[in-house]
Amino acid sequence: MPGKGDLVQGTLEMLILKTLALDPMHGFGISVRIEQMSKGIFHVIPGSLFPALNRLEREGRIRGEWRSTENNRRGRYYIITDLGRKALKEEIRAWGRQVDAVARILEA
Amino acid sequence: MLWWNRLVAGFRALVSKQRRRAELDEELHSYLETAAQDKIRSGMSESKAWQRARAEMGSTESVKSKVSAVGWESWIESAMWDVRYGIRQLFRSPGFTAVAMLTLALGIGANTAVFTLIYGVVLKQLPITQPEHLYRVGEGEFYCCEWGGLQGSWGTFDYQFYRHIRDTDTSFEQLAAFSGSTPTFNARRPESAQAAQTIEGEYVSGNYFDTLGMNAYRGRLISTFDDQENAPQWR
Repeated sequence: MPGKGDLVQGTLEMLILKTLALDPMHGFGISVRIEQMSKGIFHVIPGSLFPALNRLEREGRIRGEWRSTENNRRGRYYIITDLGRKALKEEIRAWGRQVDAVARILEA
Repeated sequence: MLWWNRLVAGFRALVSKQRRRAELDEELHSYLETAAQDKIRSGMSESKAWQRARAEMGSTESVKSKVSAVGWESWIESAMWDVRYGIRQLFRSPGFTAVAMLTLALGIGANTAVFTLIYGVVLKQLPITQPEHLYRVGEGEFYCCEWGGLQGSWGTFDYQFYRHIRDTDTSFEQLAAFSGSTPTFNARRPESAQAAQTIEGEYVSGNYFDTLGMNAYRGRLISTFDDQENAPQWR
């Protein structure tokens, strides 16, 4: 069962899309942002972040682009695509339904 | 279209494997560096920060293999590695390889031989419409005889008798007759300048092919129409 810091299967990609919907970001930026937004509950390690980014990129939901970083080095930034925005909307809706359903069961 | 994107991405990854790997290397390195600097900024000593960043990243090789395992094309790659490994192992122990190959060859050969026999004798059906409805009527071991004349135990009927059962019997749809021997014929195409050729043949009744339910690939087969006195000559 997911405890502190464990993500429900498949939600990492949704969180990445949400993060990128606000701003294009590099890998480290994404993991920091997710950690901040979850108030330290979720800690995304590179071993799950980069495979997820690769998957999203392959599916055309995000695209990567080399840009110079804040400290003037080359960094790979990820940008959400139109397909990604559509997918995010869809996933947020599905997630809402699931949360409602689980809550209803737990309150019964 | 998701599957299409995945497919295309897989082919792209296959084609530009080296570049992808280098890019991922660079990306992971920049991740590590940014993570370390972030820790330094929050007050950690430089060596401690790098140590922590490295520990959080874990082995870069394992991250890289997880990333490449995302695509379907990684399956092809690992299959190729397995094949290569297998071949290397076989070359390493030629004795074992020879025995294994010989065993397989003999096994496959024996199986094929037995199957061919069973197929020819038991499984293969006659090339006619309803083989399960076909019976050979007669007595003796082969219920008459076909192989080059009357041999062994046999029983034949004369033509008059055949005509009698054919016209009176009601238990069979049709009753066809064939000769007990296989005579040779001399045949030549009409208007051909070539000499006549010797052909193995068999006398059969007019309804023979009709009974078997066979059709001619070209032209026509003989029918009951041909099986009468003064039947027109057939070209």
